[in-house]
Amino acid sequence: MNRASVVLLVVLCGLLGVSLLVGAAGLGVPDWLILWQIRLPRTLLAALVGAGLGLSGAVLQGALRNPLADPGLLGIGGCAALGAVIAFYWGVAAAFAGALPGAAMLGAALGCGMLMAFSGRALSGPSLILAGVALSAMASAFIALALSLAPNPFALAEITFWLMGGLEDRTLAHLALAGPPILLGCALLLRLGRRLDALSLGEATAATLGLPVGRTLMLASVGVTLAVGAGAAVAGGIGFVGLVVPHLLRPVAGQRPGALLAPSMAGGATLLLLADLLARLAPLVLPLGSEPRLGVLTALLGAPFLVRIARQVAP
Amino acid sequence: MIELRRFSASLGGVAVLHDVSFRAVPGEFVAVCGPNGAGKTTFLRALAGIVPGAKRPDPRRVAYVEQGARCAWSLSIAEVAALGRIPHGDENPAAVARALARCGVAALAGRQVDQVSGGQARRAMLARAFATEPAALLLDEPVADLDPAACHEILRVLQGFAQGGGLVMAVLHAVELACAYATRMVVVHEGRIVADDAPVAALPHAAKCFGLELGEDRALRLLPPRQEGIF
Repeated sequence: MNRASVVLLVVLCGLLGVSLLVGAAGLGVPDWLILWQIRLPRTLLAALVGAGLGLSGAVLQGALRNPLADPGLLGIGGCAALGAVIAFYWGVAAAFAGALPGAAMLGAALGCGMLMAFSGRALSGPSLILAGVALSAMASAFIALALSLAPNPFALAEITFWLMGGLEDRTLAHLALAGPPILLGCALLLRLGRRLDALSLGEATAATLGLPVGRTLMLASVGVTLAVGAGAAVAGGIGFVGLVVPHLLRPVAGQRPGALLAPSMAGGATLLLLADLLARLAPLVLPLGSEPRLGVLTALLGAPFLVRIARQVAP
Repeated sequence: MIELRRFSASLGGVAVLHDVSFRAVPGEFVAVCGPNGAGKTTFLRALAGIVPGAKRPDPRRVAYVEQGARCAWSLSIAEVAALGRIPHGDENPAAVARALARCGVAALAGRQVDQVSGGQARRAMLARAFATEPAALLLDEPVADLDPAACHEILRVLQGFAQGGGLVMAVLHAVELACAYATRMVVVHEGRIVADDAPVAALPHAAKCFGLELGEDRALRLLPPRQEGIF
C-alpha cells in the first residue's frame, strides 16, 4: 500500500465521521434516533454506492482497455433506471417499501442477461461495448417513452427526480437491501486484478497467457451488475463517478489496471460521500428550497477534474 | 513439442491455411519466411492456440509475442515484463530481472513502455515472453523495428536460447538474418508450407515465392526492380 492509498483511506474515514455530524438537523452530534435511522444509513449507502461505482469504472476501463469506459457504457444503470421507472409508472413503487429498489435490481439483472445475449457467443471487448451501447439506447428510449406517456405531471416529476439520483430519506432497510449485492459484486471484481493486467496486452496475447477472456468479461459484467445495479436501485442515476475516479487515481496509484482496483473503490466512496455531504450542506448555507440532486453534484464535482486531465494528455 | 496436424484455418470466410502439418523440437531455431499475406501470422497463431480450432498449449511452456505487440496502458517496462509471470501465478522478481537483462532493457526497467522508442518497447515485449521462462518462444516479427545492430543482438539472444535447449519460432522478413541465425527455415506461401529445410536449402524456394533472383553466392539479394539509366 503506497502513501496515496493511505491518504485516501484517512480522508475516507474522516468523511465518514463528518457525514454522521452534518444534516438538516444542523451540525454536531445529533440525536441518537437521527444518527441511527437517518445519518448512518445515508452515510454507509453513499460510501457503498460510490465504492461500487468507482471499482466498476476501474474494472471496465481495464477489461475493455478503454479510458472512456464507465458503468453507464454497459447499460446496466440504464436498465436499473428503467426497472424503477416501470415501477413508478404502474404505481408499484408506492405499494411497499422495497418495491422500487427491487424493481430496479430486477431491471439490472435482466439487463445483464440481455447484455450477454446481445454480445453473442464469443464474448470480446468490442462485442461487449456494442451490446452495452445498444442496451443503454434501448433503456433510454423506454424511459423517454414512459416519461412522455406519464399518467400525470406528478408521476413525471417523481420519475425525473429519481433519475437525477439522491440518498435522502434512505433507511436501514435500503442498506440491508443494497449492501449485500454491492459487497458481493465488489468482492467478485476485486479478484479480477491480475486478469485485467493480462488483458492490457490485448485479448489474443492474454489468451496465450492462459486467460479465459470471454469468462473474464462475463465475470466483470456480472460483478458490475451487482455493484452498480444495486447501487442504482437505492440511489438512482448517479453518473461520472465510475468514469472520473480511475482517471484521478492513475497519477498516484499507477497505470496497472490491477493496482487501480482497491484505490478506485476507496476513491469512489470518497467522491460520493463528499458529493452527498455537499448536497446536505447546500441548503444550510445557500438559499435553496431543497437539497441539490446527488447525480448533479457528482457531475459538477467530477467534470472539472476530467477537464484538467484532458488538458494534461500528451498529443 | 510444438505441433500442428493437418490444420486448416480461414479468416472472414477466406481460407488462410490449407492442411498444414508441422512439428518442431527443442533446440531448434525455426525462421518462418514468406511474402506478405502468405499465412505466416496465422500459422504462428495456430501454434499458439489462438486460432479457432487450434489446440492451446500450456501457457507456462509456450510464450507468444504478437506482431507489433503493445500495451494498452502506460506501464513501466518492469511491469510489462512481470506480466510474463501470470501463467505461473507468481511474481518471481528474479526471473523478471533475468529476462530484462537478457533483452538489454534492465537499465530502462523504470521507464514507461509508451515513452521509449519502438525498438525498446519491442525488447520489453520480448522480455515479457522470457519472464515466463518457457520451453518455446513464438515470435511474430521480433526484429521488425530494430536497428541493424539491435537485430543481431536480439537474434543472438534467441540463438542462445535455442542452443540452451529452448525452441524458437520467429517470423523473419530478413532472409539473410534467418540464414545467419536459424537452424531451420519454413517457407509459407499461399497458406501452405512450400519448403521446410535447413535455411540454405530452403532459400531458393523463398526466393521463388518472393519473385526475386538468388545471387550467385547463394545470398538472397534484394535487388531493385530492373530499370535502365538510373545509375
